[in-house]
Amino acid sequence: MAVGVGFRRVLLVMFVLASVGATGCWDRIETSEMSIVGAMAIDEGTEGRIVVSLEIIDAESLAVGAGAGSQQGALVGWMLREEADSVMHAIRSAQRRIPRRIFAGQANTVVFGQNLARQGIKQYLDVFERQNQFRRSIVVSVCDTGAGLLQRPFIEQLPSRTLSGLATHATASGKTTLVTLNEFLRKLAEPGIEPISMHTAGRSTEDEYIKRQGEPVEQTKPGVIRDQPLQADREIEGLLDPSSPVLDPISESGTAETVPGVTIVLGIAVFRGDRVVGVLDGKDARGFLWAAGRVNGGTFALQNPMGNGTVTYEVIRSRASVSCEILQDSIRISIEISPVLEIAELHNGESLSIEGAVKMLEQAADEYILAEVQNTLRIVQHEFRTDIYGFGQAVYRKRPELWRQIEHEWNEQAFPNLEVDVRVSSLLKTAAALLPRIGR
Amino acid sequence: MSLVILSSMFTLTPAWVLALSIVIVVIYCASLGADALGRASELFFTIVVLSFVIGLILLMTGGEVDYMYLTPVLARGFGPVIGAAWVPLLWYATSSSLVLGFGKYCSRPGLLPAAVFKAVLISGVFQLALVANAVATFGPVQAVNQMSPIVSMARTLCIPGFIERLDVLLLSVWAVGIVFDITVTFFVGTAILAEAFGTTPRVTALVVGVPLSVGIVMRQTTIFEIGALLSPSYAMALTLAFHIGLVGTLLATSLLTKKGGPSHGGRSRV
Repeated sequence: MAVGVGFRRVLLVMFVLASVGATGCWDRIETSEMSIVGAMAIDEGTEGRIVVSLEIIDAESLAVGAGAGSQQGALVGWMLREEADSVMHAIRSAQRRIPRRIFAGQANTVVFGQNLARQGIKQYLDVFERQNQFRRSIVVSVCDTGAGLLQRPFIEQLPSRTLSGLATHATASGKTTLVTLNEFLRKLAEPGIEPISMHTAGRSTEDEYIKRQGEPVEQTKPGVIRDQPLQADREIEGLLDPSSPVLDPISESGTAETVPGVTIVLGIAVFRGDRVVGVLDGKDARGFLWAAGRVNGGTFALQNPMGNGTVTYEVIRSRASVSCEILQDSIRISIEISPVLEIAELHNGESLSIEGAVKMLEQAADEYILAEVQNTLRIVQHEFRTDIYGFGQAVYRKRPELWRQIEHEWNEQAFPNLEVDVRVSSLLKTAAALLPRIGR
Repeated sequence: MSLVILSSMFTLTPAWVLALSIVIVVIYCASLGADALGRASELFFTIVVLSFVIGLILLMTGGEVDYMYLTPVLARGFGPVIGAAWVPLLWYATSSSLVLGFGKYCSRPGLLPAAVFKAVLISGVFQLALVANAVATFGPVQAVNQMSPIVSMARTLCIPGFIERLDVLLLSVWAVGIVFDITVTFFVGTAILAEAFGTTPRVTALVVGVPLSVGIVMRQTTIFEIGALLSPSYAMALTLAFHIGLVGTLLATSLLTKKGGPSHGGRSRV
């Protein structure tokens, strides 16, 4: 009994000591003491350094704004920029200018300026993989106009929310795709496949300005995409050149000044290793996405094969499979694409009553998709010379020992000369809410 | 474990604080005896298994997993597979011996071999599932570089507004499982010693635990030493030492018990 009482006393002392040394005390940071980073951008700096931009969210203002009906121009975020030799060094240096601890664990997007991305970004990705605070679900994007993150928010209150919203919903256009850091790193490391990322640009839009003034929207000035690649913004402190498409959110957020310019998603940035070697925008991007089985939305319009007018197809989803056949002296790649479509709009509805109409429409869609795929394939094989399709991976999976022999010259020699057989078999599933018309 | 927790969550916390906290919990739990550990194991087993099953389901539906990365199967023959399986195999051997040595504290020791076999099988299946998913998530090249694949896999998942950081949740569950594992190991060791010296496991736990905790606090392994500790040669040496030590201790216990008469101090049955 005496031992039991003594033991309990010892335990009590130990637990008191343990509570003093509780682990949370060292690492405890209240939310109100944090500067939460919503998104990051990394641009080329001077003398081999990089410019890191951090969007700092004011969580309290954001919460008040969301609950009480936010006002235009409410100050919900700041932008910090720092030039340094490494990403982490820049983040820690930026800490000198903000009275709360910078926490990047909630960042949902990382944007690389195209200039930097063309030189290689592998060394700057290390921190995202190494530091546990960063999520591997961060969306990776390459922006033509440097730190596209610095574009003003659009509809959403913060640039980061605008970006993550775009990353999610722009895929419905069928002309871009969401690429996470995990996917990017995986493709960078694995043999026989090269990475891609989302491709964005800061776009100056006069129409946006007019809308904000409450005036009627007129197509007075089409959006202008700056020549690319632009020199990354090298202003570290102070205001930017007013003509720069890269805006200064410090000024902008503080004064609610209306400055035109929003970030838009253009398509896909194509990498060879860790360097951008080209971009695929619009139909070119979709040409790749068909072959990758990643078109899950969007429309395309064709001349109605049964008569006058236009037929517009909506893509419900698509799948693709890549296989390879290894012959005596060559490698033949086959891509099977299976899109599921519906008729979104038909200018000559009666034509659907023609016998075999569905078959003809499917055939027309097949031909159109095939042309898109082949066009992009030509660009990627002969201009970019980088295997973003993963044909090399198909070879590796089929004949690993052969792959080891040809791996070192794959992108330059084998990939551009591959025979690729593309087959498309569309399935026209519905005619949306209307029945095919029979008779008049 | 401390290293993973410190690098993942508590970057500012000194390593010795975390190590000491774990040791205190282990000593306390071990001192509660076999009955308490038996009851706790049922609860912890359920929590750990459920967490990993839910985590795996979320991972598989999260879009980051591509099982094509599991192919080509055996592209470099059985060599890498055996090389990778060797260390976990030795761990299983150690754990199995440990639990089998626990038989003398069980009311139905005859059921123990079958239970150990089932446990190893379940653990093996889980380990296989984790490895397969790690390869499918990161690709084979990246998977081998992960210090803590479970945490890294959880970092690929984010369900905005619902589960923002699954890694923190899974890391906590994993830590609970490891602490329990250490507790059982510690308990068996102290129970054997208690029987040998005719004392209670509580007293033995304290007598052994305090100097042990001082040793742990004074000497922390760094990440740069972990690689050597996980090497097949080290695992082999550890397994041999453990088995020789276990058998030797059991033998010594038996001799001491015979010499001094049977000792049942603090023994409880589960």
